[in-house]
Amino acid sequence: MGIEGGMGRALLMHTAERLVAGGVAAPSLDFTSQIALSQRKTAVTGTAGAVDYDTAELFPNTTEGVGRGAEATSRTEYAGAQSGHQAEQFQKSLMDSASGDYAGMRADLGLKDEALYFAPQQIRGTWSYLVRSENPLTGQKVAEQKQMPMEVANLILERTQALSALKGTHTTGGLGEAGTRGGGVEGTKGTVREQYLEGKEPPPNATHPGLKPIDEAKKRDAASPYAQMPAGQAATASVLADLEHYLDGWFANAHGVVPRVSGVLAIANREYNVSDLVAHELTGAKLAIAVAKALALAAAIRVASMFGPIGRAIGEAVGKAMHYLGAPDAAIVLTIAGWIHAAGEVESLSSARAQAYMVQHVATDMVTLFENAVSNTAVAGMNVGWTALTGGKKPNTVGDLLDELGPVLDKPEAKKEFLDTIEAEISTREEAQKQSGDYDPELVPLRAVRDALLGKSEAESVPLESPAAKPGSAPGAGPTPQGVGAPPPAGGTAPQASRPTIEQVVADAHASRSGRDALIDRYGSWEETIGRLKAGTDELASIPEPARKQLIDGLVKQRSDLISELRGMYESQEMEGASAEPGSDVDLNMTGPDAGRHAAEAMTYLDATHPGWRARYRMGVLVDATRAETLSEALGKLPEAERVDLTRRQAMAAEAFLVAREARNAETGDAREALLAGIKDPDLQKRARWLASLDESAANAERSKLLVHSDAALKAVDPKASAADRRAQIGEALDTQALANALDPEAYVTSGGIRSVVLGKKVDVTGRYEAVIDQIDMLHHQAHSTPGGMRGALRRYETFKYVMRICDQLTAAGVKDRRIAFLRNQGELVYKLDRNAVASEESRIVSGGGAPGKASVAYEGTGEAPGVSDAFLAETHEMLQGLLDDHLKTLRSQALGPHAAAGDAPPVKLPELEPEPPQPAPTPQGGGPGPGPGPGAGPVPGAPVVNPNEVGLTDPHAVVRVADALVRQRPPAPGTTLKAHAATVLAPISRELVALGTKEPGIDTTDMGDPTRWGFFSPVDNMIYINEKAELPDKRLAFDIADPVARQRLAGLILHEARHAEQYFQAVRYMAAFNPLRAQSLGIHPDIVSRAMASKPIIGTPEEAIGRAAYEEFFGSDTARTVYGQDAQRTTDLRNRIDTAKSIRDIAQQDLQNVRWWELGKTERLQAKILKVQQELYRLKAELDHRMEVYYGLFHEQDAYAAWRALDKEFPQARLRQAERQMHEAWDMVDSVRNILPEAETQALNNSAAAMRAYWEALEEVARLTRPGPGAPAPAPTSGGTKTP
Amino acid sequence: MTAPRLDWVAEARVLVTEPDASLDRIAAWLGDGVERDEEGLRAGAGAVPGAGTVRVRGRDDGTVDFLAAWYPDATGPTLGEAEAALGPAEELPRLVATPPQVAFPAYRGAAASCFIAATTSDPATEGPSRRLFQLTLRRDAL
Repeated sequence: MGIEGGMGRALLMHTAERLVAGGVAAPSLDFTSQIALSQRKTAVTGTAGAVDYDTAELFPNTTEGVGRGAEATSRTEYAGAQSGHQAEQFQKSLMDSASGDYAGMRADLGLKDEALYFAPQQIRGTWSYLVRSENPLTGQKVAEQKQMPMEVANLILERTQALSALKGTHTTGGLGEAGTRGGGVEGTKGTVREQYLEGKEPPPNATHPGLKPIDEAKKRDAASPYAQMPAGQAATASVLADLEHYLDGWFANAHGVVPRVSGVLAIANREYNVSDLVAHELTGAKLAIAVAKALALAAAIRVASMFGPIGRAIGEAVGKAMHYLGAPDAAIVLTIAGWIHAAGEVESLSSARAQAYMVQHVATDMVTLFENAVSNTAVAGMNVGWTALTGGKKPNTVGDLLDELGPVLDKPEAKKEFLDTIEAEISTREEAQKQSGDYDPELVPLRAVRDALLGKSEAESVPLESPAAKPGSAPGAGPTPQGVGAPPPAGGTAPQASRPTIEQVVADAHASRSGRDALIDRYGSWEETIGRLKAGTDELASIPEPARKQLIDGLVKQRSDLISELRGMYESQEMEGASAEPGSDVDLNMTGPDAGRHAAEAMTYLDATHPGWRARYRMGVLVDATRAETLSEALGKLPEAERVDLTRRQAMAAEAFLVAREARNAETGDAREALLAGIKDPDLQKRARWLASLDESAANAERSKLLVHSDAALKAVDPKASAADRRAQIGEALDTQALANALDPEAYVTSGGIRSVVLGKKVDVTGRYEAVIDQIDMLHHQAHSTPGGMRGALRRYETFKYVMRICDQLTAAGVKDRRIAFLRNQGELVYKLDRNAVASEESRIVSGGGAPGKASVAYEGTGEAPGVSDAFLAETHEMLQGLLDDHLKTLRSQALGPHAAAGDAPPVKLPELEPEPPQPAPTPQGGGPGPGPGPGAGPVPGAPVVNPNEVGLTDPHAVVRVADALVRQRPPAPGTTLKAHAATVLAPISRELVALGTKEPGIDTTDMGDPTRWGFFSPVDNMIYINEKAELPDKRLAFDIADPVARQRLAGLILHEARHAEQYFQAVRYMAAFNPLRAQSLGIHPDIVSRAMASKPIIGTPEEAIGRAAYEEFFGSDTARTVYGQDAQRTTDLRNRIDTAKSIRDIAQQDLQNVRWWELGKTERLQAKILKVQQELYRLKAELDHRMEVYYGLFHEQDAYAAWRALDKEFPQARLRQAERQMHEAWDMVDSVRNILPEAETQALNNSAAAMRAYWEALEEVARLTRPGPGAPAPAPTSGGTKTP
Repeated sequence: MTAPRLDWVAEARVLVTEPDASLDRIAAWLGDGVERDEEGLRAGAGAVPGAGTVRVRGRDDGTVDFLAAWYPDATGPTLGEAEAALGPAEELPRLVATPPQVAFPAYRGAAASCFIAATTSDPATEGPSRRLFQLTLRRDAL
């Protein structure tokens, strides 16, 4: 049978269902007779305090007694008595059937339709009976054996007894009043009290009030459709109706194809006893995959028809390819597909039973299909070709088509079939053309396909769409049929398939799943589609908002239905914490011991039934993350040295796998090679190279294998095995899972990433490093999957999720860096509070307040929030890059220990920002709600793009811009003057000030006469003055620009003084709001005053706080501090101490690096202790570094009071005390090991500990100097006590 | 009361504030050894009696912005001397981390476009003995 025959059968399935549904044996009351003969016995035994009830359902035999034993005996006896008789009857029925018109599994016995037949082996589990009906397709009469589960039988029995009790009367054996004695309980008319004690005579129609419930039950029974039936029939009928109603509902509400098909097959197996093999395939992955394959092929063939004769040829080729690949004949698959399709849509029991009836005819083929679908990987490989036809991009040219069909046409037999069909089609058409003289446009692509298959590459560019026949071409005079490569007919170009209108697409999306898929495909991805539907701009502007919302709801439901379908198939759960935001992603987490296999099967199913499901539905299928915890626990039971080494080795491997994943996405071979070359370990590089070389199909197949193997590897971890064996087993399990994850672009690869980020577990420094690189890799995935690469990804909130997580992991690893605070806050804002925060440069309206329980950031009020510029995002990227540049290498070194050479660069790198796209025309920069550059001024040339929410020079963005510019500056050439260099340093800072709206200060150097005075800002001159004779305590010049450290010192001073320039500007702005005349009489340079007065009011802007604080320092409560703060000697001492502490910090850093921890740890009995020492010292170092960073920020504060105030805020006393304890613990720890280590290794450890103590003491000294002395004013809140001047 | 270290202020005020004030004229007044750069003029010790460095900054339109003189090594006039020569001093509001500055508003004189201010040493030694280490004559627009 050809494919078309298969298609015909498939298409007939729905029609057949309607035919069959009316003919399949309908539910009947056949069981009634058996009910009528059965007995229920109940015995009450025991004592008043412990009553025992025993019941038994008994067949009509002689069995006495009650209870479970009596019931079993009754059944056995009944079966024995009946079987001989029924065997005889069965033989008779066979003879009868030969001469009569009955056929079937059990012939009617000719006695009664309700005659029962019990097979001894079945009677214990079910109650069986025969029914007779007609074959709906042939009209032949059949008798069928039915089996009823005992649960249903018992239900019928109970209802029968209840109805029987209701219909009869209950006598009292001559007791009671006259009515009772004559009419039983139902005839009772009154109570004893009424009649005998109160002398009342009840009216003739009176009944006992206690009979009211019985009367009501009788009334209900009389109104039921079964009122006229005997009790047994009524009970049977009502139970059947209830069951039917339930099953109707089940089929109507079942999610997806697979549950419905399973239901139909269950009925088929129950009613027709179809193959046990089928029964075993009823649920789970095999059925799902088979369904998927069959439907995919059916869809492929349907789509193929779009291509006319080429499509038919493709269909035949696919069938041929399937044959040679070991799959069942395509026609069979199509037939099954048709049945599956129809069975998957049943919405009632009668439809399901009709489909169940038909399954008998495809059962055997189906089993074959299942086996092939599951076991034949070659069939899975054909997915690529099918995807091209069913859900992938539509091929436009012959070359496109042949590329997509590569997996099919690689088989010589299939290729030959394809060629033969094409040739036959060409011949037929040429003959027809010759006969009619009409030009046949189909011949062009047909010939091109043939020629391309024969190796003529020029044919590949021919469009698949046939050029239209030229109208009016005369028979015989039309253009000569075009050969391959010939230009299209003059004056005509190939008609382009017209893009459907948005109205049509929307209508389709409302109507069907395929319509919704088409809508998503129109916009390329799930999130893009949801975003556009929400925005309602561009072509969707014509669609009303309610309709768009309805579409979003429809899309979300479609996705959740798919998730429900998968959840019905596998032990799984939706990832907790999944966002309710429609545009966000959703992950299904496979759980249980077979989670790996289930994940593989589910993905295979989705690949086949929903090609492109990842992007289209933004879904992921993952293996339960708690596996990582299981493995971690097993890891924790290894000896310490084994555990540490395996953990580090695994981190190295995971790192290499991540690089491989990046390499798979590399744009060029060179880029790929460069990434892989970053893996230093030759074995790991080899594995990574293999991983990176897999194409999509091979990667999918490999991932499936690995996932399945991961189940076995996990189970193989034997807690009773030797340490060496366990190490190997755990390593194998970890390795397998990491490799499988590496082939899934959405999955975390590292154990640390999974445990810390997904499970929220505390992990060691190795885990933190792993988590960071996993997040970086996720950023690669974002960049790779977003149009516009990393630049585009920076507009997506998910990107900031990963940025936030990088910050969290770095912080948890002990990294202290001010950039973390900014980046984390930014990440939290975008990820948790406002997912559109970076989506556009356009402003938008935001609501005040935060997201309770979700984010620690919030908008202060409701109103218009400015958009975010590309430049701002680029700076954010630069900041992140800088953060990683500064810390990732050290973190990696700590994480991997001796496995990483100290000089190795981390191979997992942040995705680079693509070059800025060319701008069509220059656009004004700057602006925002902050002050403008001056009255009537246009864009500020050279001014940075300042986000309107920035708060000036102290804003992290500005700090980064300035710091970045300074880092990029070249060292001054020999002979450069201090003034020239200072001007160079000031330039990027001035740009920030100009962007704020003020006039940049000048800078000059001079001899201030006092070497302890380093410089200051003069508001009178709007100048920053640098003391060219400033000295360090050792009398060296403070600003010797040949010295890099001195240049850093100078830059810090200039930035500090420039902040004062900003403060004066903002103070005048602030004062101008309520006392403009006073603002002009402060002696401040007119350039500053005029710019401040011309700017927008400061009240309500982000800079208001700066202006107010400065103003309060002018006239407010802080004036009194001046005396204390200007204690020149104290500030000089402070500055010098900070400088000293910094030098000691550098020494401590060096000493700590000199400790060869891995050598120390070689002594097994000391390993745990050494590790602890290492952790303690690094922890202490991190704490001290943080303090140092804060102190260094105060380096140029000339006001000791301000320094103390800042320090007190940053380091409350409790934290200092804790740090002190930490220092002593670390010191004690070193003491406890130093005497038992080899001498060669002890020295470095001693040095490090000593340096750390010196570091601590230096910082303590700095802290001491900042504390107010006796008589100094206590700090007070700066916001209080404003005086109006 | 005369103060040699401040005698030059009267002449400088005229040069800075006269309508056709120019860097050239001030350079000529400063005498030999004056250097010109993109920002204006710079003269070493001796250019102004009693002062060390003198700095004159010009504006973009070629006019004068200010003239500042520095007194090195605690040789500047005391506040008392300055008040005697230039009139009463007024403390200028300031940020705590910037050095104290005083203005001499009475000495603006008729021109009224010359703002004279001085930066002083730490106010811990507050009082008439407080010493100026920089004096600025700023030409403000009328």
